[in-house]
Amino acid sequence: MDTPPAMSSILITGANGSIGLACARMFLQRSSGVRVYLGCRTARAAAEQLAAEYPDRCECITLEVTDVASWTAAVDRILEATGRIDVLVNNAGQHRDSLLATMPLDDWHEVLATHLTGTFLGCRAVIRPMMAQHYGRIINMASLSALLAPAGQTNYAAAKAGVLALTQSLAKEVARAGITVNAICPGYVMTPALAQDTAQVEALAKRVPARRLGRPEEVAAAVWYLAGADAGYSTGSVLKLDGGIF
Amino acid sequence: MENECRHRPLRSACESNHEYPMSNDLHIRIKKVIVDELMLQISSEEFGDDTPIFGPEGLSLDSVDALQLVIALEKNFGLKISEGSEAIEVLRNVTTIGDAIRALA
Repeated sequence: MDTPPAMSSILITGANGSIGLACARMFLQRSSGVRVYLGCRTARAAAEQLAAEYPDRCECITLEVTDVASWTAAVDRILEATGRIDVLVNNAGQHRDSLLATMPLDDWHEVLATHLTGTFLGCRAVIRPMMAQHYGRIINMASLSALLAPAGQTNYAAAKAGVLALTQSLAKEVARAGITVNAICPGYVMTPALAQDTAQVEALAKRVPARRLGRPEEVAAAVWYLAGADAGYSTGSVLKLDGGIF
Repeated sequence: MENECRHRPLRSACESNHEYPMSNDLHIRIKKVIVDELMLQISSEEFGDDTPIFGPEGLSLDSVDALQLVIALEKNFGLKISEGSEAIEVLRNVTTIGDAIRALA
């Protein structure tokens, strides 16, 4: 029953960011048999640019990950167009870092909603069609913060730790249906904004045994593996990509 | 989580229901869907129309199987089952599932 489809439909949330874009580009470049949907909220210029490069196989769709109706509309759109959904990459995220003593309640709720509730809603939106097709790959983007729990990130670390637990619990629920659910924990990953700050990059690199930051393409390669048919026996796993920090 | 019932024949295989002789074809199709979609390690001939789908005296399916079965019945027969008491009644055995499917017509 665990048979990969000839043509895969892939939905990536947070697709306007560095990691989301790298994932989408890797799918599009490595396989002609994929249709990639770029889930974006408001900022979507980079995603639209990528979609324009692959007009037949890539499309931007509006997706607010904390909104049930938005998920329903997005998944309905994909099912209507392709009849299936094979891969979900829950990648949308945000930071609202501060010490707990001074953290506004809104910052707590916002971060938990985006990361944890957003992941829950995404999984719930795709699980029935994936069960019906007896095949699915869900990849949840967690963070090294879920494991390290750094000071100043009580909201983010708690949300990402929750994503890991959700991943492992859901993996057990749906394994028999040919659906895998895995999580990735990236450490420091280079972004265009971060690259502008050489001093910051050097300071962060000193904390990494590999003495460099990760590249979005390296995270995308892990997503590529977990999304593939060959990863059918990997489920409930947590893959950390951190240059040896943890 | 592995359901040991998937690996053994069921003693209730002889319980096939004779009250619905006209329903044989439908019941055979339902059994095939149950076995195929839930990947049970038994054949559709090894359980009867009135064999309980849940519980130790029957197929011993669990809640994950139940969700899979609901999805499979919708996919194969267009039968939409609401959660709660309706699901409990409909998913009692092959006969009750067949009744619900026939009621669609």
